[in-house]
Amino acid sequence: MFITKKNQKKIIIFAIVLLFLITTDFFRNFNNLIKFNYDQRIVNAYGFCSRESIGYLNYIKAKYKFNYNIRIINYIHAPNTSWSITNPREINKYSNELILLNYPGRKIKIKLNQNKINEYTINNFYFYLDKIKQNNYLEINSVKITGLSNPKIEIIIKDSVGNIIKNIQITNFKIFENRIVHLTNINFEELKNSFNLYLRLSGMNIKNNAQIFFITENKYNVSNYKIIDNYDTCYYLKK
Amino acid sequence: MIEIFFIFLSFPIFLLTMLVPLQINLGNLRDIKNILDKLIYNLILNLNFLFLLSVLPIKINQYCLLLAILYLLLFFYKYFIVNFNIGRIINLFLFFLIPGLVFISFAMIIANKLNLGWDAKYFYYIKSLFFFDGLSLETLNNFEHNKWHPHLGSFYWGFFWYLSPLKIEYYGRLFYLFIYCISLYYLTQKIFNKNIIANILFIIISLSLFNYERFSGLQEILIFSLLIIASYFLASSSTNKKFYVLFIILISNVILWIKSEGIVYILIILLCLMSKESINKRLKFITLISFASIILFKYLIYHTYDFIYNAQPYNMDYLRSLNIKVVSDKIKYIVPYLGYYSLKNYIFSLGVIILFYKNIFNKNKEYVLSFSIFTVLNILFIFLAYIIREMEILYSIKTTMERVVFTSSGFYLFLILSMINEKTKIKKNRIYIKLFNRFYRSIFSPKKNY
Repeated sequence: MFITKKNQKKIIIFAIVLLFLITTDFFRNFNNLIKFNYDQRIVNAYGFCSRESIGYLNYIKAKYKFNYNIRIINYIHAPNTSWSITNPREINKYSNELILLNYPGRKIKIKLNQNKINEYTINNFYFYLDKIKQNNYLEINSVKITGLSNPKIEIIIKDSVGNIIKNIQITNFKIFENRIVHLTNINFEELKNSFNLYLRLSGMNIKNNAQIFFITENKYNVSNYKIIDNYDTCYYLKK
Repeated sequence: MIEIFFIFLSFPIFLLTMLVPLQINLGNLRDIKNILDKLIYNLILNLNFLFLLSVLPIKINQYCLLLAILYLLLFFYKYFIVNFNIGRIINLFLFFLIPGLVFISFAMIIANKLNLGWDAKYFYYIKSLFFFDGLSLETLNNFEHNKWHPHLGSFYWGFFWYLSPLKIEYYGRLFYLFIYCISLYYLTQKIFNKNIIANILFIIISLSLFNYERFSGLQEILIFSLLIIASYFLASSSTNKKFYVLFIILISNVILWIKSEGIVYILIILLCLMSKESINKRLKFITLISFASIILFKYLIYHTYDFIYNAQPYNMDYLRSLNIKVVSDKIKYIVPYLGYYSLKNYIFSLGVIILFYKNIFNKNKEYVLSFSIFTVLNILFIFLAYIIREMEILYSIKTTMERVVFTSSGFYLFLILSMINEKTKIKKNRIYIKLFNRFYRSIFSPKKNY
């Protein structure tokens, strides 16, 4: 009874506006903009030395004030990170320096995901092409032979259109304590059009929780370079 | 805190593109439809003016600030010196209060998330960096990914990024948000004639369609927004026909320079225009020549700067190699995914259903034919784009189809809103609606005459 007609209108307007602001998280966003500066928000969005590591790239760019482009290798499958330090005036010129992000060490262990029954895949395999060496092998855990037919491992590599560019059949592998470790030594220098890698198993079963890895030697070894800057698994190197 | 201040300031700065060069008579808001048209005309003119600047061999840092000051002076001259009236300024403030509020709320989200989309990192951001860094269009040739898409969206990004005092990239992207808000506001206001439902629908639709990814530097949102405006011009049967056709041509020019597939959309729009009986033959001929000219102009610019015209994964060799099995295999993937993404996008699915309904019950409405042509050709384009694309089909669909469906869905918003309008008109005579409208107008309608 104390609410006049004029106040009623104001209350309704206020309610509509408030509802909209709550729905869009206006107050939290407002608070975040006050609490975190732009650089901190960039780290929140991309990670400092994790995920795309844009925080680390911005940090070394500010610290070393380089005006040239540097080749960046990110071992986590994430979009291109070079955009954050690109100098458009020198767009095609690269220094002899190198930035490694999320460096996994001397060996790269790539997990294969189950695609179908007895088929496993590394989607977007092309991502690894510039990071791996010919010295590579397969590791399959929790294997049990069915005994129904000859056990076989088939590795199929397809290009971006879906054409098979390499088909490798392996029958001479050994199983030791329900585990297969087989040297594959695929030369990816010759398979530059590789896009997806598939692995098919026949004549054997593996447990549901079994894991299959494609293990390969890292093309980059930090001990072969001069380390200019390092934070955790991110390196700024010079040849 | 300073970032927030400049977010608030960015809205009036962007608004300048709607207030000059054509003078808007803000004294009489009863003539809302004409005011809205003039505001949109200004925006389209300015988008085209910026396009012309982008293709000239001059650098943004040579004219950006000068242009902004010139526009500001022009605004003060037109609204404060020639026809100064405090009431008009209040009207202006009230008129843009709701879109301004929506813009600022969404801008806060963009300023917080900051993540750029995949394509933005590869193409659009780098290109905008070229412009921001004071490099002109011709230098884009040095950038290997320049060939995939035209430059205009990146140019707008770079231009407004450079204009912002803090020089932070997302201020450039806020211009995309501005066009999104304004196009939705324009359509809802035009259809519902500054009714309470217009504002409520504007808020609901802008909220339901807002998704940060759309504003992560990707260009689809620009074409989506421009198609919203073009669809209204195309559907309108008002006396402004000539103006509408002229501005459809100008919108088409902008679309053509935003994404490679822009050419498909503008050719579909051209066919829609040609199908309209209310446009006389002379105007159709002029339209045809105009469309040919803007396409030729693109070729000319590409030729001048030695750009690759078509770098998309479509080529004749692949086309010749296609056989029935490959095509049918591809269609098997396209159909379910197109169905899925269409259902996911309520504007697209609802728009097509309404169009189907109108084809049965409102056949005599001229725009139904235009929208039908658009729909058939648009769906055909989606099928063909994936069939003749030399790329693994599933990867290609999963990474792009959602955006392709979204881009064209802007065109269908008109159908949904006009349907709602038709249905609410029937109920308009009900007493409580009348009372609610009167109450709303008493709050939000600014003073009419000063």
